[in-house]
Amino acid sequence: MKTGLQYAVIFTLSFFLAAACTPVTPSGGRLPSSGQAITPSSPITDSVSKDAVIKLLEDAWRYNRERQHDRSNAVAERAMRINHSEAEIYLVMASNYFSLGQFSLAEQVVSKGLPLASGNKPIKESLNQFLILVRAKIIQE
Amino acid sequence: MVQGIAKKGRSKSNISNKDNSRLAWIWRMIIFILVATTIFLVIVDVFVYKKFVGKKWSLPSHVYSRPLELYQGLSLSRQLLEWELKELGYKKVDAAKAPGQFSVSEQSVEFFSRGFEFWDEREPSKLMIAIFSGDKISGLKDSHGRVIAITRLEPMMIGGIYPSRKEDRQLVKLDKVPPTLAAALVAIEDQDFYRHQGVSFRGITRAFLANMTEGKIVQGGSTITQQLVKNFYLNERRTLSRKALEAIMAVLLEIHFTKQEILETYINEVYLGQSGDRAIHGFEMASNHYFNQPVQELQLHQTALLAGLVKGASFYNPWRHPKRALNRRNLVLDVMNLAGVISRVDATTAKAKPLAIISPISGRSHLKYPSYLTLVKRQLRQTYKQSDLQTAGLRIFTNFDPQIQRKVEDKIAKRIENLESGYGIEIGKLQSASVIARVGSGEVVAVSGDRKPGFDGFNRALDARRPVGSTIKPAVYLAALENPESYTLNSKIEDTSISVSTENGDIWQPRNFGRKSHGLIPLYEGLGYSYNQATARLGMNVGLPAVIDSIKRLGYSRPLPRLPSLLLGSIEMSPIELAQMYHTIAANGFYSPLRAISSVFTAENIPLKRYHFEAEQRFDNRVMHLISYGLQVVLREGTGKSAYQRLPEELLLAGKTGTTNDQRDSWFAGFSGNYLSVVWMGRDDNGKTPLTGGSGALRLWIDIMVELENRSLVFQKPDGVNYYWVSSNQNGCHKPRYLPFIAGSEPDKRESCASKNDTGVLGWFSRNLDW
Repeated sequence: MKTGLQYAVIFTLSFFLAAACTPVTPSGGRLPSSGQAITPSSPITDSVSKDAVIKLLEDAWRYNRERQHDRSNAVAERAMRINHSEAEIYLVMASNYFSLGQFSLAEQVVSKGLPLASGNKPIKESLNQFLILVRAKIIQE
Repeated sequence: MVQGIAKKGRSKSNISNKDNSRLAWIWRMIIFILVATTIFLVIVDVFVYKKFVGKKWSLPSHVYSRPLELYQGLSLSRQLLEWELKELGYKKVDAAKAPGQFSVSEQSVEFFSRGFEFWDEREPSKLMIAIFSGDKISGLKDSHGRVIAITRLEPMMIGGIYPSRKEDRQLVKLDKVPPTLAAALVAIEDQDFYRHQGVSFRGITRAFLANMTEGKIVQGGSTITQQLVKNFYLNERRTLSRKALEAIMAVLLEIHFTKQEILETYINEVYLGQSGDRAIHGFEMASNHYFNQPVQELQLHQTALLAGLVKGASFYNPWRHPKRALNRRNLVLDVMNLAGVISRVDATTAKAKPLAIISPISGRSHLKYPSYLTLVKRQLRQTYKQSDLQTAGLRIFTNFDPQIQRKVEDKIAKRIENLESGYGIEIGKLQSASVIARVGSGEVVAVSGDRKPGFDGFNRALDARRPVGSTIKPAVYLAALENPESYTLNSKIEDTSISVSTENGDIWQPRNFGRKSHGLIPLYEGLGYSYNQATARLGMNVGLPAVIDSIKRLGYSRPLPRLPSLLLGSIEMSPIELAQMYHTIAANGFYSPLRAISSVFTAENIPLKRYHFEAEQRFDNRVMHLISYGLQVVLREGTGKSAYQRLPEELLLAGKTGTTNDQRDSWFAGFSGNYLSVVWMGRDDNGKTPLTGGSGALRLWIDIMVELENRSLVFQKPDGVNYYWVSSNQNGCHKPRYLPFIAGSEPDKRESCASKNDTGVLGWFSRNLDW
C-alpha cells in the first residue's frame, strides 16, 4: 500500500525519467518509449533560405501581375529549387498555368501544393479556392 | 594593166576585208571577254555578297550547366565557391575591380560577377561579397553594403554538339573585343588594313622583296581581307589563279562592306587551335580555350598571344611549344609598339608576363561530363533535328550541377576501388552508374555512366538495362495499399515458401535472401526487410495487372511481361528509368518527367524554348504516405540501416535495396527531401559479384548522400491518415508500433494498442504504474 506522498515522488521521478528516455523526433516532438523513430513530421515552418524564397516569390507574383506568366514560372522554379516544400510556389505557378489556359496542369500543380500548405492557413485557403476555380473551368471546357 | 590594177584592187580589198574581219573578230573577242568578265564578276560578286550577309557559319550548339544560385543560408563552403569561380574563368586578384575577378579572405569571397541574360531576367554585372560561417553563406552584400537576398553566377559551358566537320566557334561582336586585339591583328597581319581596298600593293611589294632577299617565302602579302576571303570562300590551294580570284573577291568584299564588318568576320572566322578533333575558330572560342575567359576580359599580353597564333596555331601552340609561342607573342608586342599602338612601357610590361594559359586538361570542360551530355542530347532530339543542333548555334541551358557531378564521380572511383580490394573482386571488373535528381522538380543534376570520371563511352546510367531486383518492391506494396479496405501496413502476410505456375508451365519458387522464412509478418516488415516470399505472395494476391499498372504509373514506359518474377524485379531497367520511378515516389505520387534541359536560346540569344515544370498526380497522397513509411523502415531498421551510421539520425530518408540472382546486380534507390539518388553496381559481363544491394550500391549511395546538402523528406500526415499504436505481431502489445492508416482502414480494438501507447508519457505511466 503506497501513501499519497510516495505516489507523488514516484510520479515526479517517473515523469522526468520517461521524458529523458523518450526518443526525439525530427520535428522536436517526443515519441513514446517503444516507438521507432518514424513519425509524421510537423507542418513545414522551416526558415531555410527564407529570404531568398520570399524574394523570388515576390518577383514571381510581380511577373504574374504583369502577365509575364512564363517568366513568372521560371522565377517560381528557382524558388522550387531552393525549397520545393514551400506551398506558395505552387499557388503562383498554378495561377500562371491558369492564365495560360493550361487548366489541367494548373489543377495538378495546386494539388501538389495543397499537402504542403498544412502549416500555412492563408495559402491553404487560397489553394483550395483556386482548386475549385480550376475544376470549374475544366468542367466548363 | 587594168587587170593588174583590178587584181591589186581586189588584193587590197581582200586585205582590207581580212583586216576588217580580223578587227571585227578582235572586237568580238574583246566584247566577249568583257561580257564574260562582267558575267564572271557579277557571279563572283553575288557569291561574295550573299555568303557574307547570309548565315556565315555552321555553328555548333553549346551546352551550359545550371547557374550557381547564391543566397544566405546556402550550404556552400568558401572553397567550393572559389572552385566554381575558377571554373568559370574568374581570376583571383588582390581586390576585384572588374567583371571576372574575385578576391578571397578568411571568411569571405568578394567577386565581380559578369552578368548574364537568363530566361527570366538579366542578372547585371556587379561587385558582391559572400560572407561565410563554416560551410554556409551567412551573408551576401553588394559593394554598398546592402543585403542581397539572392543572386546567381553565369552558367558554365560544359560541352557542345558539333557538325561532322568539327569547327567550334562562339561569335563575338567587334565592340566586345578588347581594342588591343584588333590593334594587334592589324599591326602584325596587315598594317595597311584601314588604307587599302582589299589588296595592298605596298604589302605585296614588301613581301616580294623580303622573299627575294631570303630566297624563300618568309612573308605573305595577303591583307586581312584576302586572308578572310581565302578562309571563308576558297580552299587552301596556292595557285596563281586562286591568288587572282582571292584578290578580286577581296576588292569586291571591300566595295560592299565596311572595314569593321570585315574585321569582325575575320575575328570570328580565323583558325586558332585544336582540341582533339575539335577545331578552335574565332577569338572568343580561342580565349576560352587558352585562358578560360571571355575575350572581353583579356589583357594585352593575352591578346598579343592570340594575335600571334593567326600565323600558325599549330606551329605556335603554347602548350607544345611555349618558348616559340612566347617569342611570337613578344614579337607581336614589339610590332605593336613600333606601329605606335602601344607604348614601349606597355610592351615591356606585357613581355615580362608569362603566357598565362590554363592547363590543357582543366580547359577541356567540354570533355569532362560526357555522361550528362548524352542525356542532354537525347532529350534535345525529342524536339530538335540533329542538323539544327549541329549547325544552328543553339545555347542549351541544363540542370547539370558540376559540383555534385564532381563529388559523385570522386566517390564512385573511391568506393569501387575499396569494394574491389575489400571483396577480392578482379581489379577493373566492377562497374557502376548513378543518377542524381532534385526531388519535386525532377531536374537531373548529375549522371555517371562509368566508374571512371569523365568516361566518354558506354553510358550505363542511360543504356545498361539490368534486372532491378527488390527495388521494384515498392510498386507491389503500392498496388496493395491502394486498396485500404484489404491492405494496411499492418496487414499480415505469410513469408513462407510459395510456388507459382507460370503461363508456360514452369514453376516459380522464390526464396528469401537468407533462405529463411519468417512466418506471418506485417506488410511494412516485408518491404523494410525485403522479404521475397512475402512480397511474391502479396503480389500474386493483388494480381500482376495491378502491379504492372502501378509500375507504369510510377513512370516506367516500356512494355512489361506478365510474369510472376516481375514481382521481385526480373524486369530490366536502366538507372535513369528506375530514377524516374522513384522520383514519383519521392514526389509524393506526382509524376514529373526527369529533365536535363532547362531552356534553349538561339545563337543570337533569343529565348526559344523553356522546359518547364510538369506534374501529374498518379497516386493518392495518403497511399504515398504509407509507402514512404515503409521505405523509411528500410533505412531505419531494414536492409538499408547502415545508412544511419554515417548520415544524421534526424535526417528523414527513404529508399530500397535491390539484389538480383547470384548477386549480379547491386542496386540502391533512395531519397531525402531534396535529392533522389539511384546507384547500380555490377559487371559488364553480367558475372557474379559478392555484393548485395546493401553491401555494394547502398555504400556508394551513402557516400554520395553524405556529400549533398540534404533536407529531411517531407513526411507530414495528410488529411485522411491517422496513426495508431498496433501490435507488430500476434504476441499482444509488448512490442507495439505507431503506424499510419488510411481513414476507414483503422485497426480494430483487438489489434490496436492505443489504450496503452498513444499518449506518450501518460502511456508510459499507464504501462508502468499500477493505479
